[in-house]
Amino acid sequence: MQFQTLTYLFAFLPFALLGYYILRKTRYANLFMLSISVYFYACSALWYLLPLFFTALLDFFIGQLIFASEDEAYRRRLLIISCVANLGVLAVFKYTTWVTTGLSAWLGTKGVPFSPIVIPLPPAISFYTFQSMSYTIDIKRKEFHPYRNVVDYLSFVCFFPHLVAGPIMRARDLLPQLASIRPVPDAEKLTNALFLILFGVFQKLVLADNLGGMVEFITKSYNFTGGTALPPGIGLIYTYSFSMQIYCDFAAYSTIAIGTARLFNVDLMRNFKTPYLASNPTDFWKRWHISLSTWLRDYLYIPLGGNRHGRWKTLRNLAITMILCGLWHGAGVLFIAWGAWHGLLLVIYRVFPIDTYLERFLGKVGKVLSVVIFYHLVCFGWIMFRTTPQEFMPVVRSILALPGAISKVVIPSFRDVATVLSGSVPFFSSLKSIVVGVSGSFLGSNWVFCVLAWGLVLFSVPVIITDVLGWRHDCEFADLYPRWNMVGKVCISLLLFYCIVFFGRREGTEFIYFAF
Amino acid sequence: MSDTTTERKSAWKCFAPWIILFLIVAVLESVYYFRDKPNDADRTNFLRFTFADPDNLQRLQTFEKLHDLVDTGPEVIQVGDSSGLHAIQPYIVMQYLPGYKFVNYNVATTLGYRGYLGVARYALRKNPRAKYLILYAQLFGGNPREILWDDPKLIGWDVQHQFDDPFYRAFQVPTLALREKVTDELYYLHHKFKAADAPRLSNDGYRMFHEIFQSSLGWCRETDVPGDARRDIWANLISVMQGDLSVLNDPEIARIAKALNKIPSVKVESFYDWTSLRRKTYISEIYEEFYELAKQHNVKLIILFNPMPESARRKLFESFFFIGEIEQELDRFRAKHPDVYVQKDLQYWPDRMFSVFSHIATPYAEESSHWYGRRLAEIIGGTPKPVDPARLPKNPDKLVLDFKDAISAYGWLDPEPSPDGRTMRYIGPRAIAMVFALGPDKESTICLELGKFTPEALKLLRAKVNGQYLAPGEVGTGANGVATVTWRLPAELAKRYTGWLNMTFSVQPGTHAPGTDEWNLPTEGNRPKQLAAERLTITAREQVIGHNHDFGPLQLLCGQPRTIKKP
Repeated sequence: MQFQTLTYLFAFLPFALLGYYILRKTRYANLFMLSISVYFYACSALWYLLPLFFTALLDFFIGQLIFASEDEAYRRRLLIISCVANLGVLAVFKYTTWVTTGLSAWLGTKGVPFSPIVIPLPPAISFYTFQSMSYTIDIKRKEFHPYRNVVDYLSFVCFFPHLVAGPIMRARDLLPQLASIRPVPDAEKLTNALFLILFGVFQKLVLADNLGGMVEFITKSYNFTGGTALPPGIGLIYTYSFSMQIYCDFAAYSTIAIGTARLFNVDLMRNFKTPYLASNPTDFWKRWHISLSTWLRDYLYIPLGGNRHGRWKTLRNLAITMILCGLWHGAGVLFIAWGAWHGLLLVIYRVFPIDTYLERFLGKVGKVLSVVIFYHLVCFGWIMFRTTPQEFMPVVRSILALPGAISKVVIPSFRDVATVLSGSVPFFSSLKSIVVGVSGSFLGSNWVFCVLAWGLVLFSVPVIITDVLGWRHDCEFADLYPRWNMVGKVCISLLLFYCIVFFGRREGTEFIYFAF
Repeated sequence: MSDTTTERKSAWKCFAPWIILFLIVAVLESVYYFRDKPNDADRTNFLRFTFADPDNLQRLQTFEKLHDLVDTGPEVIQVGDSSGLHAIQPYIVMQYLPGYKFVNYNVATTLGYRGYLGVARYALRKNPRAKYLILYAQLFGGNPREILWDDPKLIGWDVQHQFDDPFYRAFQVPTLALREKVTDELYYLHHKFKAADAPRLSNDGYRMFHEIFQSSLGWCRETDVPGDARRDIWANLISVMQGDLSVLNDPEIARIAKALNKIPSVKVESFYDWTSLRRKTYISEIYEEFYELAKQHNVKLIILFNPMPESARRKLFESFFFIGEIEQELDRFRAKHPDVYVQKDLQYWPDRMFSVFSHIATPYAEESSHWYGRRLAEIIGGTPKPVDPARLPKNPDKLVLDFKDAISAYGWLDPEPSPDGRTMRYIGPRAIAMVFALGPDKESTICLELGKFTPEALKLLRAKVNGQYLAPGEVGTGANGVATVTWRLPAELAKRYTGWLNMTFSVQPGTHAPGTDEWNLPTEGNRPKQLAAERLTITAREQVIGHNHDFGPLQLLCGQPRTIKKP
């Protein structure tokens, strides 16, 4: 089920809230929550429940066994079983198709017939696998006591607001909340939660889906999968649009998830904090998909040695962590390359902190410049994330061809500019006619680029404005709600509502991270 | 102040913005609703108005039929797939009915049966005087099955949600009707990137549909095959199936072969029904839904099928054409519901009458409409009589069809500029071309302005209207010095289908004797372009007589003023 649909917002969610608050003080509350979560997850395909319950129940029982034993070697063996089983299930569903497709192509060149094995990917498998793993690891580390009630435990793994695309919550943060009898949230919390949901729906339907539509439009219209050239600049719009789409899409999911959870008086961690205003990779990963980056830090980077064994090992650990982060996101060479790219950025910025130098020499301008530079480095990564190996180069070439397309129009006007500067013709009117002529000429020869560029401006400006507003207060835009006065609250909510009515995309696109 | 009072105040403070927001929205929506009275269809989310990505043809056709035709008050409502959209001309059908108005709501298979059902439900809700609901679809690939009922990609789901489902309709605020205007303003920078009067889709099929569907009461000519119908499609496909792949070099044949390849077996599909705990066929599931709907609205359900091409019965197609199974299932449904008319004698027509396996070719739409009308007359009974003209679209006294615009026509080539800067269309290589329009329902003149012609072609030029050849036309010169040919359209032909005109212009030699069927002649090979037309004007003669001091139309028709006596 999708968060942004009317069925979810006005049928499923009210029903869930009503049921929960009726049963809140009884022992059936979590059974009810579990049932509706299972319905939420499996309403498109029942078999999705098999890997979910396998993973969850395995870790539940292993967690009990680990906790019950004092034998460190035995505890360690149990943890290895849990990790292998979890990652094994994840690997089977996530990587079999990719590996066997590659194998099939390779064997094909050797003349050996082999059909790829295609296994559909259950949504959210990467999320709940990591979440469930953290439960057993924390018990092994004696940082958390397992819960005896399987319903409470399953309602933690399956809690519908965060089940499909996070935030990846730790059992120690979420399970105690779910297992307790929670009071009805106060009016302030409720209204904040409602605003989070409204803003999340706006982010998804108006911003993410429209920007995603432009990415799809470019892919569909130019059919560059086969390596066909993209017109100059279209690749740039493709890249910017996707960078904004993936941010708004994922942030929207997290915002709605947090808002929904608050209606049940459950607090989920923030997953985003104006990530595109980061000036370096360390800062970026503290702001982007925070629940994943902290998970990777706690359960991968630190166990690998973190920064405790010298500079080179630190850099190695960073690179390994990020490559595995790429692999977690998806099966494909370019996902690994994306992870490696971010690993490389972390390494480069550690060795040569560009942002620090820029800020030192240029002050505030340097800060802005470092944000702009780093945003573009992130965007380069998004090209790898979004494209197939066949699409990658056409996008890059199209970006590189843009200056040429601009200069083709601008250079011929240099002589006219020189004439204007010489003072032989009226300055302003002549300059105006040159600008009109140049832009008209560019518009004529790059019509589609201009239309799409306008679309990009239209849907990206709200992202930039809301992010800057949030960044100034070191939070997300939606968190500002309690700070506004009544007029501000009404005006902004009204604006969001009518933007959804008029500009919300109707295609019903899934959240991108459902596929991970 | 007590804690409770403070809490209440605080709660009010928190909820006040939401309450005020709700009130503002309610006021804005009410004011707009009562001031502008938006059409129900406009208030849906059915059209998407996505940035730089127009809605597709089938979605637009569905929307416009539901928008413009839905409350036109027909007694007979026909829903279904594209076979009916292209094969059934309401004005012909109505000649057989006892004064009933008939509207064709068929759109496309992409709606699926869920969509046909949604359209039917909406049309019945809006037309309480309806007496008959007809489901008209083709069985050759369009037979009721899973993909046409449960596939999430079907447009039918949206039809159901946006036009029928009370839950979704509850959220259709009146200002949704402003969506097109608002998005056009903002997305296209106050029409900088898109003309203010631009069609919703720059697609020939759409523009033609848009020009004709209102005046034809829902019919639109077949547009599936670029370059129009080919008679040898089946022959070529059969060659492919027999192993001769050389014909696939023709991209059109390859396309159709590919489409045919995609057709799953034409057989009865079933599923396990958890509500009744037994297996159920899709035919039974879907027809039962239609039956329930008809019962709910107290109308008679009629299920009719588009004719199928003879070749479908060839042994070659036995591997996927299990029509016997379908007939058995239809028998079962018929036995269960004797009050429903389900066509028993499936029609197999000559292959040449089809453009693709599922569509009657445009030149035979008139014939299929007669067949259909006769069949309906048998089912409905009563003495045929004309529909009250006040309930039909108004017949124009003068109709001008400019060949540079989208018109519902067949057999003409794409518009071309003539040396003097005008735009015209040649009659295509088959040397016959058709035009469809709702014209004056009285004695009229038909004037074809010629863009370019050879004397030989001009000598051969004949016109056939509503099944009858007209007396040879009179050659003249129009007001701008262009050559014209003018035919007199007798009242009985103009009135035959209440003003609806199926006009054929032919430059084929030796085909104009009554009873000859020019479609049988060989049509392959690129004949030289012989004759091009620029404009077609159909004028009611009474109108001219009433204004005999103003010779505008006459000049256009005959080149020089003359007085016309009242017939």
